[in-house]
Amino acid sequence: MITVERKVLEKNDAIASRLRQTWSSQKIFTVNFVSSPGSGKTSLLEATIRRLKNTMPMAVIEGDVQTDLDAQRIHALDVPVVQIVTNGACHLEAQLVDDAFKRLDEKNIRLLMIENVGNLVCPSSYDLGEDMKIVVVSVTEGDDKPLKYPGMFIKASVLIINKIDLLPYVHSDIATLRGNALSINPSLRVFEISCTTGEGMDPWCAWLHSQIKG
Amino acid sequence: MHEMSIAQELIRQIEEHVSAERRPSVRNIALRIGTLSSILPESLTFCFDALVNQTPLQSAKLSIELVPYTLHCTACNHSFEPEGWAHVCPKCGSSQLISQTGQELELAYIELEESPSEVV
Ligand SMILES: [Zn+2]
Repeated sequence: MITVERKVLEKNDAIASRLRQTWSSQKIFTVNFVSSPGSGKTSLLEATIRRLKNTMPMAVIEGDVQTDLDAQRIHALDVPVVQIVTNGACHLEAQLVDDAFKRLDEKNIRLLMIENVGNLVCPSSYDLGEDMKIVVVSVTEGDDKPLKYPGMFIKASVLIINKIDLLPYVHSDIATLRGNALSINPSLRVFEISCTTGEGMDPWCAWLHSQIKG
Repeated sequence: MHEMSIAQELIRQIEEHVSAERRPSVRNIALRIGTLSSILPESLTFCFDALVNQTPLQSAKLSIELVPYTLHCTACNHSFEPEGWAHVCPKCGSSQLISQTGQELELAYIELEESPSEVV
């Protein structure tokens, strides 16, 4: 018998630790946005960039299975962006993020936003070196989402409930959604927003801005 | 499904620990997987079996120990498996809890077909 006692993803974790050290020493605050497909991550990024881009230098790493359409949307806002196309893989790994960060032209930034592939299962296993994971759920997805994907909600630090302008038209109950999420992870910070109407964007952006280092 | 890339990592680790000529004698790979690790044991087994098929590791089987979600109370040092998603220590009522187990994805040991006394 050969005793091993190693984490299976230790290689990924080692790269992630190195990235975390790099970003910490360069005073870059890094967030990893995770969600199901269609919860509005890219719209959230766009709305956040519009509000904050004149207050600090920032950049975006976009993860997508096939296309660079999301990166084009960010590029249109005149913010440095690097696209990772995973060619079918359902999650980003630290090595891909490391490569993408090297490709970033502008590294003198304070905020790095990583948009993970739309999936609430696989990305939760991979540390990317981020300061925190931010999970985005739209009200159209149902209020039991946290109970279906507890592994992601337990790892996230922030929950953004998106598309609250659609609440009158859907059956999900925002109090139940929030309660389900907090029952799994009581330390989650919750923001309720609508990228369409702008409701809730101010407290979210103020909080994000307050996290910037130095 | 990320179990395929996890199975690839796992095989890479096994190959690091077992020399090429001994790989055909690998029988059992013991893993620990937390119930909150977002890994499906059936998918991982399926992917592993597919990857080792017709390789020197093809006789290897995964045995997976599922590790439950447990919390540790920092106020009274009590460790427990919460019922549902309770967030209060059942012993002292404190809510100063940290998660202890449940997120594991670990390769514990590799068993080869040979006498247990043999030094590896
Ligand atoms: Zn206690």
